[in-house]
Amino acid sequence: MFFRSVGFRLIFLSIAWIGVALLAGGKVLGQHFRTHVQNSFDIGLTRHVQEVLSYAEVVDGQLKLIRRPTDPSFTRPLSGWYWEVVQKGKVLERSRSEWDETLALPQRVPAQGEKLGFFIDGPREQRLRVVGKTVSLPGLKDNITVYFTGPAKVIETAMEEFRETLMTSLLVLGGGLAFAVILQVILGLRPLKLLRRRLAAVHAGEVDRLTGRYPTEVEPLVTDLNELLDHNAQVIERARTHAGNLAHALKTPLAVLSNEADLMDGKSGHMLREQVSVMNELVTRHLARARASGGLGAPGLKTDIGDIAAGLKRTLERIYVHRGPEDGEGIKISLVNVRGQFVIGDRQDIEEMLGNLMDNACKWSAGRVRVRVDLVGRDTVIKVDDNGPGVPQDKWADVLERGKRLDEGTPGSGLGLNIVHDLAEMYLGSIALGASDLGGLSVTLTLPAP
Amino acid sequence: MRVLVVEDEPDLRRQVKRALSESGYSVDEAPDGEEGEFLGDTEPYDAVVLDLGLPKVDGITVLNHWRAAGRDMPVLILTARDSWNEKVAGFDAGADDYLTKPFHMEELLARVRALIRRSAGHAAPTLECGPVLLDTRTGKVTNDGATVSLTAHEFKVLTYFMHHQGRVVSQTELIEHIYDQDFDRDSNTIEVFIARLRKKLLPELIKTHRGRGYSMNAPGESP
Repeated sequence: MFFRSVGFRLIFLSIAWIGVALLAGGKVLGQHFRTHVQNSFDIGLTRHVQEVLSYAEVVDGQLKLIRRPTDPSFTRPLSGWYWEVVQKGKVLERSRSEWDETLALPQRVPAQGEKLGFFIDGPREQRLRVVGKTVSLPGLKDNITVYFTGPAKVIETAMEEFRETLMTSLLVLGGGLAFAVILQVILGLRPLKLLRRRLAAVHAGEVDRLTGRYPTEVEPLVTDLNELLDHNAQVIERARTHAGNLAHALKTPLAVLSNEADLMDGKSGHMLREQVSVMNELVTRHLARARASGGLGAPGLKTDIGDIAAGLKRTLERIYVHRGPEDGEGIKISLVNVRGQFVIGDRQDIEEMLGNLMDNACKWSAGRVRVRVDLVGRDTVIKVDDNGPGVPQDKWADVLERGKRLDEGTPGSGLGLNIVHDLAEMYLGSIALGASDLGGLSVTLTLPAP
Repeated sequence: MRVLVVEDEPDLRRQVKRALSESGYSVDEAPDGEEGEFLGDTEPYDAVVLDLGLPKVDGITVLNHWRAAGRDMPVLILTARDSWNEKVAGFDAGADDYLTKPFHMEELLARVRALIRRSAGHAAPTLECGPVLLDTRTGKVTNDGATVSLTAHEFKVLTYFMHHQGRVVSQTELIEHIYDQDFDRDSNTIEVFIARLRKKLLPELIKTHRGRGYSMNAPGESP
């Protein structure tokens, strides 16, 4: 799952690579340092070998050292600093520091003129570094080999100190590199993160297109996305304009026809009126559908109910300011908890639904209409109540059915609730009727909340 | 009562004009927004029937201009656009009522009647001045319960006075509100109409204020 994240992938791979590189580097450096320290140590010992050889004299075919190495380490007992002069496996001379021990030198001696460096286990299980050199001295029948030793601990201590320093600096370096990698990945991927956040905002309907500057690699993607969003909006807008024009183009002739029909007497006038009314219902219903943006498909749709409800209240209170033949006192619409409530959906669609519900309520109301919005789980529930006569329970299903009207006497096409029903279905919402506590009908519209 | 009809469809315009004229209104017509706006700016209308989808200048813009210029005559929007979005926009622009096409002519007449009545401050559809009653719905005039028969012009003059009772109405104002713009206006005829109304109804119903005009008051009330 982690590997699906580009950031994690980059960080993981980089850190793995840095780890391997640092380990290998550390190993090589350690190796080199050991060689270096050992060589230096060997050079020191070799110098002593040379010193002893310079003291060697042959008297009567016998080796004689006119002086012994002056370094006090070679006289301190069991110091690890020893020397021996060996001829054919026999020790001719040796350092005092050996005390009563002998060095377990290997059988093989260096060839003449050769110098060897190696490790042995010396007295008291002390590890020793040995340098041996075989020379032939004039007057001596057999070659002699001079060995000098020093405690290997000296080398190991130096190595340990170096290793400690090396580890610390490699760790610091590794940490620094890892930090740099993480920083680089975070900074490098920031445009993508920003894009994701902006896209989420578009999806939530806070903005209608992607804004801001993006790096050249991301810019084409943003441009394409914006074009897609614009295209969507344009398609909706064009469909709306088209629907509006069509409404105008169809309904004006219908109005002319209907008026002429009203002036005609008898059967043909009646028939004409009926057909005009059928056509009007069809046009109204299908244009309402055509006008709808298409529901949840398009991104960037979030609508503030409070805003819409306020506009509709203003309008409806003016439409119904004087009800009935004698001017009445109008209708009081109360909005409860509508502010800051949102639904997913296009503004015009939501306005159409709420407008029809509120208009219907006003039409039947005896003076009071209440719009109440509640957030229930992931749904926004809009309840429109009136104090009119209400609808008996067995007629509830009929009200929502296509083109049915319970009362032909009240003006209006009788399509209001059907259109709401259609639109609600497009938005995966629902509409339900019930009895209101105000005494009339209560219509509940449930739509998905953002 | 003078009404302006702004509608681009000639047949519909003719139908509306005919229906309004038959109900006793003087009707002017305009086929596009530009001319409509000009007429509304220059003539004193008692109501306007305004289409929204107009050539040249659209109805909402016309309405916005009128309201911005302080013209407060009642406006009935008559449109094929029936979305709530457009209704809210229409009312917010200052419309007084909204009727969607297709419509029944009686509905339009009732709305225009109610708009004019309300803008003059009358709540009931029947206007009353002493014993004289005018039912705006039927156009029937009664005096002490007896039906009075009036000519079209007499009816127009009476209607205007009934709507504006207790106020001095100048002859010019009267002419402007009872004749449409194409009518050959003659101020002398006004005096004739008023004389006939006094005769048919009550002599003291309409008072003359010399140099200022006329006023209608219920008996016992001063202007």
